[in-house]
Amino acid sequence: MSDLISTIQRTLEEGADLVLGWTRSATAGVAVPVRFYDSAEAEAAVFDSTCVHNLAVHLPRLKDRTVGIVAKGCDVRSIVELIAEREVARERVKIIAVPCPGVIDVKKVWRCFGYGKKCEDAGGQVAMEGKTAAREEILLAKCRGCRDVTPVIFDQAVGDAESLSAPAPAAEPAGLRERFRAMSPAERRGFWREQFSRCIRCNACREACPMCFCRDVCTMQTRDPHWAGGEIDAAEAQMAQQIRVSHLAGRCTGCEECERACPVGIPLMLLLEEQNEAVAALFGYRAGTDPAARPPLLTFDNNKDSWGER
Amino acid sequence: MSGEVKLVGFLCNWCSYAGADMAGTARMKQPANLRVVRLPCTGRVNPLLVLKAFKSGADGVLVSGCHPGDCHYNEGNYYARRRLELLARMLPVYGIEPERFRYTWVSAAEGARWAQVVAEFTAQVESLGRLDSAAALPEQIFEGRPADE
Amino acid sequence: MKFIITEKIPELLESLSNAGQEVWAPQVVRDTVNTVLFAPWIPGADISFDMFTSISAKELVLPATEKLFSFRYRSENDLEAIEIESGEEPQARPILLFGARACDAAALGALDALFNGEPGGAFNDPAYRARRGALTVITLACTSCDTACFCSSFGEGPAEKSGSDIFLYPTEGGYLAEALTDKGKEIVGQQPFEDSCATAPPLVETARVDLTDIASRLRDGFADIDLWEQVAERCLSCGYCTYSCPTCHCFNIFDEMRFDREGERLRGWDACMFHQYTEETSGHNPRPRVAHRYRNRLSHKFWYYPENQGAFLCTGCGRCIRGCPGNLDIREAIAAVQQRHAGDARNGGR
Repeated sequence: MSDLISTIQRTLEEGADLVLGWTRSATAGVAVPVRFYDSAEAEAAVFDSTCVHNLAVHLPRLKDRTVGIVAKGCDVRSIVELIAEREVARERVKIIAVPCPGVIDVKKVWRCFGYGKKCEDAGGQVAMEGKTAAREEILLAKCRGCRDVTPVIFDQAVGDAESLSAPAPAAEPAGLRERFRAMSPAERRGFWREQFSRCIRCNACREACPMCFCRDVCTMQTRDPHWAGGEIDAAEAQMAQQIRVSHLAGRCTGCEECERACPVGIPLMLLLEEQNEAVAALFGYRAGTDPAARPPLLTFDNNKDSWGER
Repeated sequence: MSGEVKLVGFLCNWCSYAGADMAGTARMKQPANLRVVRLPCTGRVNPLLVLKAFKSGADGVLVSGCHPGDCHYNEGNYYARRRLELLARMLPVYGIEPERFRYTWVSAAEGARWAQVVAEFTAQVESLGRLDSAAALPEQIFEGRPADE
Repeated sequence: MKFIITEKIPELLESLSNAGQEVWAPQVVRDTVNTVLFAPWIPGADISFDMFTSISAKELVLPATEKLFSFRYRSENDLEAIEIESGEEPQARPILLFGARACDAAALGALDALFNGEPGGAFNDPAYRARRGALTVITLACTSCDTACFCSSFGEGPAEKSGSDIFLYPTEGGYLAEALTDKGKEIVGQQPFEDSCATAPPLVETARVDLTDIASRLRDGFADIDLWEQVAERCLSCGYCTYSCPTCHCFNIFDEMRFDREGERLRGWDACMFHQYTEETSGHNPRPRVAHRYRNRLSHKFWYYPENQGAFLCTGCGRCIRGCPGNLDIREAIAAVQQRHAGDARNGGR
């Protein structure tokens, strides 16, 4: 950890106003996101599998300052997309890349172990109060098959080049995704109707998303034009999410914070992954991979853009 | 759900709306299920307009504009083409059959073509019937819950 | 005490359902890792006895959205001519909540202070009162907890009986049942409950938060915006905490038009953590920063509500801690307030 701490301290010395990172928490299985304002505070910095949050979500509201940020590969994609959209300036962000072995899904910890007090991470196994599980079994789904282990850009790196490109655990079979793809249109309509019947319009999905920075002028809640009603109802909730998903077209970096934040377990990534795949197929674009990229829906290419109108 | 299919059309003012006008004044026969909304340009078509139309009871949505290269505003339809193709790929994810949505290019001189597009699209949606999202099959979402009869 | 074996619980719920109760129980949502919600139960469905629900059961007394009335403009030319059709009579359908915890049931007691007053009094919400009267609560007593629980800070903690009709204590092979109200006695007096002379097992002790003089400390700390900026630093202002909380009850009243001239006036959940919560039509917002909103939330729960209604607006269920996407901990916030302004109180306060 000393490598991480000294890197954060160096970043502060070199002019950053603060550094976003993590420290230990009392809650088993999850670290605590914190801001380090000086070298003394940085002594408490940690990075391990409990650092699940995407700290890039805080960058838009800090864009008037120079901000250091400890970032996993997936977090860096969000930072890159924010830079590509000119929401944050490249020179105002000091990225500290960390080698990420995958992060723990605390809900899987609860399910495997019950609600324990402390979770011990010992290499390939995780143990809590006498029970063990393979680490792979309690990682977040996105970590398995991760293509972003090596961050796209960074200013400083903790660990060597090798650790920053270690292969991710193999992707697990995606049960729900397979089932969903096999559904007929009518079944899919029913599926979404039931899923969104649980939505309580808390907006955690939007607030946890680094790309949703419209804050109080968000289209999900405008009264004029009134796209989605305010009632907590499946049809309105689905419309509100459709607004969010369509506004993320070509912008979602797949960090999955929206799904992690949802209190009622709606599989939001089913929608966003389908859209991300469509964007890749149509425009050859993957958000957050090139800070100089022009977002695909803000441009066109007449040599390629023809899919035969139906 | 029975009854005639309800179709909504978003037409650009300069090409497709004029083309539809031409079809009308020439008394070309076409089904009357389509209600037209006139916009300055297909570039103004927010994908949410299409989604909201389906949510509000439309069984099919058609978008029609100037041919690429002929946009009155030069490039509006280039942006529209990208947006609408992406939307077309997302509608089946929400459970809306792809045949219920179509975007096409009809110029001001193509009245006959407009009548043909309307006839084809109406028949296409009629073969699928009304879109009743409320009547879709419920999905078992809690663990262990027995399937509905 | 009575006793019921675990395997007979579905039988109990089914017979209560046949007798006219709409049964709600905690159930795991399929294809999620561990999302457990209170939901209507149908015979055959699995009940989750060991896991915490991510959101509370408050929708049973405070629906997420309810219609107050419908309205129709009679003519476009006369906006004064409005027909109003009242909403449904307050729902009084009997609901049985099975599998609540002491923190969920005690929360009903806290809400009662504001909404369940006598008709004609200052604190009477007829819709809430009707639903509350028709609600029966069977609580599972907690013999274990997690790091987020802190109900031992309030009342009797896991042994807090207020709000419950029956307490079920986990024991060998089943549950010991203690009837706390007449409704509860009527249920445990029937099959499949048997008599038992066993004694209830000890309940768990959770973490505690120091609430000494918290109202005064919050009063002292009100103007210290630096404290609140620090406390709310990683808050995303998302609304998870308020919507999952069993005691948060703020609501919004808004109109939704259905067609050109017809609409409905609705009441639905609102959250003081939302940016728009205090946004005025002029655009001015007295709580523009998350620090202001977090200050308000904490002060409402531990200063205003105790002062006005005589109860803390928190029962230590830990949902806000467990589910917060930013990992905020309300206990740390309280501790920060206590620590920061201990000096002021000692110096005689203001």
